[in-house]
Amino acid sequence: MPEESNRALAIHLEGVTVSYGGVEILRSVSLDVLEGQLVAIVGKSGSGKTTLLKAINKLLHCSGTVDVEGRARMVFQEDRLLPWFKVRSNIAIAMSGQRGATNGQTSVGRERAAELLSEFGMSNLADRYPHQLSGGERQRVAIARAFAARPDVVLMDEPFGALDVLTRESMQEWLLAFWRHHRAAIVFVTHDVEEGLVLADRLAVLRDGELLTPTVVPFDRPRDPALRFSGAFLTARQEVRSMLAGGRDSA
Amino acid sequence: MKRSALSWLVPVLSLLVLVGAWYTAGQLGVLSDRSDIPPLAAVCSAARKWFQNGRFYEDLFASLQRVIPGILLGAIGGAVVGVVTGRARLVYLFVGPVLHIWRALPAVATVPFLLIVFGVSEASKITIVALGVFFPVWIAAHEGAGHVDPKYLEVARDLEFTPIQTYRRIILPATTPFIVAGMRTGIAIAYIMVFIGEWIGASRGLGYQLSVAHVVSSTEHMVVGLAALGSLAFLTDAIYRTAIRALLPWMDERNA
Ligand SMILES: Nc1ncnc2c1ncn2[C@@H]1O[C@H](COP(=O)(O)OP(=O)(O)OP(=O)(O)O)[C@@H](O)[C@H]1O
Ligand SMILES: [Mg+2]
Repeated sequence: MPEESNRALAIHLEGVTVSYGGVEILRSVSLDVLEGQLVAIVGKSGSGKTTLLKAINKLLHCSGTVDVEGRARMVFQEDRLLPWFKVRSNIAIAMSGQRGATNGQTSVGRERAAELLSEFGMSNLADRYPHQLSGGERQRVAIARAFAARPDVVLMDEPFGALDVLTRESMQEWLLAFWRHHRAAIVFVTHDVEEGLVLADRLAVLRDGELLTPTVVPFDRPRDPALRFSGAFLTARQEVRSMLAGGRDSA
Repeated sequence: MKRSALSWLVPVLSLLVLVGAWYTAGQLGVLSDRSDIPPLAAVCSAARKWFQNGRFYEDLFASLQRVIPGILLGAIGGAVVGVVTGRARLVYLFVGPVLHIWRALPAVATVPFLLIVFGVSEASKITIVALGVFFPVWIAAHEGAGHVDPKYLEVARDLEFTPIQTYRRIILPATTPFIVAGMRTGIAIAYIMVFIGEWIGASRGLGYQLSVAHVVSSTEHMVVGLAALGSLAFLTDAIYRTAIRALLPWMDERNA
């Protein structure tokens, strides 16, 4: 993309290493993400995807450089809505951390929650508790919460991992449509190669704690759902798969 | 028949059978011949007398005036101290030993001592109830606050909550189910404590009436007193559970 050169960096990682009890879970990871860019990290279970996002969000200790421009928010692997708050408050509380407001019932938070819920077509769920929602609905509320405070960076940890294939695909389209109006740099972690290719500007493979050099995803936006069946897509998918498998497939 | 109808009809029937058997045994003279169990008719007339001169309500209110403030004080104290000791390790190390030693004592064994130390006043009886409630609530709140799921504390950091916001939005709500369970135990203990307190040092109250009935060996008055005390404790528990379900609807199925 030609305009990339004059965009600023949203995330800059250099030599990020995380170890637990002497075992290195992430080994010298480096990554640059531009503002408003969507980067997918694809890796097998246990490769260190969640660990990487937590390192970026400063939820755990690591060595190396972690620079994040502006406010970062995370969508956790499980939704992590607070079970004691209704949907409305679960979104509203995300607004007040920043401005020293005292509780989630501030008018700013409530207005923002109402705005996001109506945009998501979920206004009717505002007064429900999280346990009264389906898995997909919970995930959308978690995404609304992450975007509530207009963050510059959103870290998404397999947000659709627990959903069935059809729901997952419609959530992907929905996320892309939503992201068009709510630009933020997104690091989207997934174990699903297709998902990474459908969503991302750039895609990087995480293998046993090592992040391979990201590759540009060469498909124009907006992307047609039929893209998945094109030859170019299938070729790209095969390439990523062989990188995941440690290059053994291509040998 | 529907399940819901069955679920209250059968318990009611079981109580009716018990009362019916008791009444019949009394009519046949079985009870007075072979035991000290008073016949139902005698108990009813004792109850009627207690109600007629208005004395029952005075005793009921006397007991409630000790139980209710005692429960509230004990529960608030236990919850506050429990959250503090659950979160602040140093405070826990300092006050923990005393609290644990006191907690290990059977609550009723401390009552005569407390009545002498605090004197035979209303305040001392409220204190006795409050102490009985304090310990189960304290230990529950302490455990709850000390074991708040770290995944919610991570959310607090992600959303950049201030320490006060973290307490109000994460730690206190996460501890609430523990406090609620501790308070239910506390309420049962509150009735034990008020009974002992009134037995030893009071001139009104359900426990006092039972002590009088004991002195004059009137079993029918004892049965009335026990029925009143039992019903009151049962009702309090039922009201408590209903109130909790209405006030904290997320608690039932939070893990569903
Ligand atoms: N707190 C911890 N202590 C020790 N080891 C840990 C800890 N958290 C994660 N690990 C280890 O680090 C490795 C990477 O874990 P991580 O959760 O980042 O994987 P992941 O790629 O997110 O996997 P998944 O796709 O299953 O979510 C795993 O081998 C895991 O066992
Ligand atoms: Mg993970």
